Amino acid sequence: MTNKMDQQEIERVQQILTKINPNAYDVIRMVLALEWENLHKSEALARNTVRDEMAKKVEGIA
Amino acid sequence: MKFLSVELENFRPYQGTQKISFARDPETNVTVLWATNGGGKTTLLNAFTWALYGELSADVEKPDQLINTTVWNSADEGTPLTASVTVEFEHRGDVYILKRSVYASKRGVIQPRPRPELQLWRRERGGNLEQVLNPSGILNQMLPARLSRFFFVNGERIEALVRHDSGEDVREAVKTLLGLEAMERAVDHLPKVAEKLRRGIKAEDASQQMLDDLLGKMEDTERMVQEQQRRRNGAEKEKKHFDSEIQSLNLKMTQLTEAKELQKERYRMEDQLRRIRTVRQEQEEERAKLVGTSGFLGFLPALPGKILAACEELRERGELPAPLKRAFIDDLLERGQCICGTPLTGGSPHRTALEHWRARAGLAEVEAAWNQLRGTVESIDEQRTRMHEALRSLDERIAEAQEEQRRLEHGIDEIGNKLKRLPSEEVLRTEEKLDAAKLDRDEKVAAIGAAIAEIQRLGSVKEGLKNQIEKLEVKDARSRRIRSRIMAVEEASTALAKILEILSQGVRRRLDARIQELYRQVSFKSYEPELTPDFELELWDSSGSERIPAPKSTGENMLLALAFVGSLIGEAREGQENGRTFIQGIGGDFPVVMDAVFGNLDDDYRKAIADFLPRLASQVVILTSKAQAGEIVEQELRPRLGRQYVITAHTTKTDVSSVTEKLTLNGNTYPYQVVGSDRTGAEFTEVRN
Repeated sequence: MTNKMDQQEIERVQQILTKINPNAYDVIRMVLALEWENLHKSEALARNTVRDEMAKKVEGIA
Repeated sequence: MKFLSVELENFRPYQGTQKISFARDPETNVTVLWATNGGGKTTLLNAFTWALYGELSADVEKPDQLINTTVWNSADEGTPLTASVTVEFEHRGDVYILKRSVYASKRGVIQPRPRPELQLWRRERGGNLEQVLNPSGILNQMLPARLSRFFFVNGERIEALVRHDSGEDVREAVKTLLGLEAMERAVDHLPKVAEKLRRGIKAEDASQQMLDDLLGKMEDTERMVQEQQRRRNGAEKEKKHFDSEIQSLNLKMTQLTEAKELQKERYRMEDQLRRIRTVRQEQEEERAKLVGTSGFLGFLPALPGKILAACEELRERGELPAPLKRAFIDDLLERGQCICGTPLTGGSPHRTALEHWRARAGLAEVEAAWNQLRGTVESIDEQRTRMHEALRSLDERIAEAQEEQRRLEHGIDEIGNKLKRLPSEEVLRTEEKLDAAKLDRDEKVAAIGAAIAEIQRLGSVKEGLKNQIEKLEVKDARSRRIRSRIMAVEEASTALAKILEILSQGVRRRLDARIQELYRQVSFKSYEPELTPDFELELWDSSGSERIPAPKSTGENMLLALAFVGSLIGEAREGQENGRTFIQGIGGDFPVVMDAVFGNLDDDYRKAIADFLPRLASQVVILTSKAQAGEIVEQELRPRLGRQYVITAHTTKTDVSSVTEKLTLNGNTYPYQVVGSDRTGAEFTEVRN
């Protein structure tokens, strides 16, 4: 039962990820990596870092 | 992660350099440290959290005095002194050495505010140590500080997990464990990224002023949203507090003999009321859906007849397209001449045109569409009747549910009145407190609702402003590119929010199943634990016809809290095995260090917990006094004991009563409390097997 629900959960996440625009997918990858790097910082500090860094990183998006 | 050893150097009561090693064998995975109350157990628990995160628990006295006071006091002025904790551990196949130290020169009696230094090394295969950069960040990735309270457990505080207002702590722990914390932050931060990008857009000259105004309004609206969110969070916190108070007052009522039966009846009615509200809500949603999809039929009572009459009239007048038979064109092509006399020789444009018409001949589509239209129009009456019947049926069921709801609400009020009329003063006081708490809770519910409505309204305002910004003519290609980046950022934010919700509820469901399984294994009661969708730990009694909140004793609270800790450890372990940590959650096998878990429990619970602990994690360190654990714990743990230490407490005092001087373990005797010693402090001694 649990495995079946886990599978459904994975499928729902996959569905969301496959439906989005490739640029949005790239944004997700970039922002998660950045958040992970800044996780040890306070929320306010991480927010400013992520906002500024992401604004630069998305310049790679056409 | 597995602890190999911990070494304390002049840390709090531990004078000199003292080291202990931990049991690591899967079959004998338990290390027990025996110490008297105030004998250094909690300091050892704090040594772990201080080394890993630089944190001491809030109840530590004089937290700045980290260097052993005997060492400090006996040192000459100006002598450089140090205290440190070194933890050696294994993580994902690598051995790490972590050392946190404080240095100070003796100046007077009071130690200066400590400025700890942290170092982390990885032991290479050849034995060399490689320094790890950003040790704090790396350690926090291995075992985040937010999870530390679940892996370094203070038995006197772990019970608090079971309280109503601990939902937020539990939710945070779960999110950290699964790596959802990073995702949650991303969902919060991406709109800020979009805002920053939006500020970079340049509009055509005339529109620039308008763009600036719109951006200003967007910022104001965002500030208002944040204020409403702050209000909502505050009200939710207070609501939880009142929920908790209501629950404990209700439980108190079940323990008052005069009120017991009425309270049970109230529980039963409240449970029914919850169910009937859910049913009513579902029916109302179904009705809204039906009106949304078929409601238009209600506005078409005369239209189908009119359509059919109009079409029939057209048909009678010959104004509907007449069927063009394919056989007729075939005859013309075969004859080689049109009815107008034009020759239809092979390859001529006239013949080609006719062949083209042949393919479209028959107008079968027109005929089919007409038939379909006729069928559809004729069935509208029938559909409308069916819709009215379904609506009537839903209305009736909703009305019945409303009636039942009113009856139950009245019944619950009546029980409240009956309770107040009982001769017991205590029942009356409890009921009055309950009324007051319910009123306060309802006030908070209203405040939450108002904040949610305002957030929604502001959301629409923001959406409108965004649309206006999008409609402005942008100045250049760069601004157009910024727009497409904003779109990507906003799409990513929406997708991440959906994924976050799916994963949060998924892990809650898995943890809930684990908690139930672990709790069933260890509890004597037939209660059912639940990790609710709000991430609160609840305990239910389903022994009667209705499910009612179970009275939580200290023992049951401890078991429930430990089952939760066990479920976190299990989820982390399985998360790594199944590669579920695809969003970089905390996966792996984690040890658990527990202080004072046997305090205030009766023998049955001590035995149950002693039996349960070795199964909780692959490495378990237990800090306990002999008095708290008793013989029963020692017996229960013996087959799983890998290592044992005695922490001998030294005191220079001589007038101490009820002292346990010796402790006998495995047939050997060890000093437990030394009164009239040459120092005050704590000392490790390993127990021989």
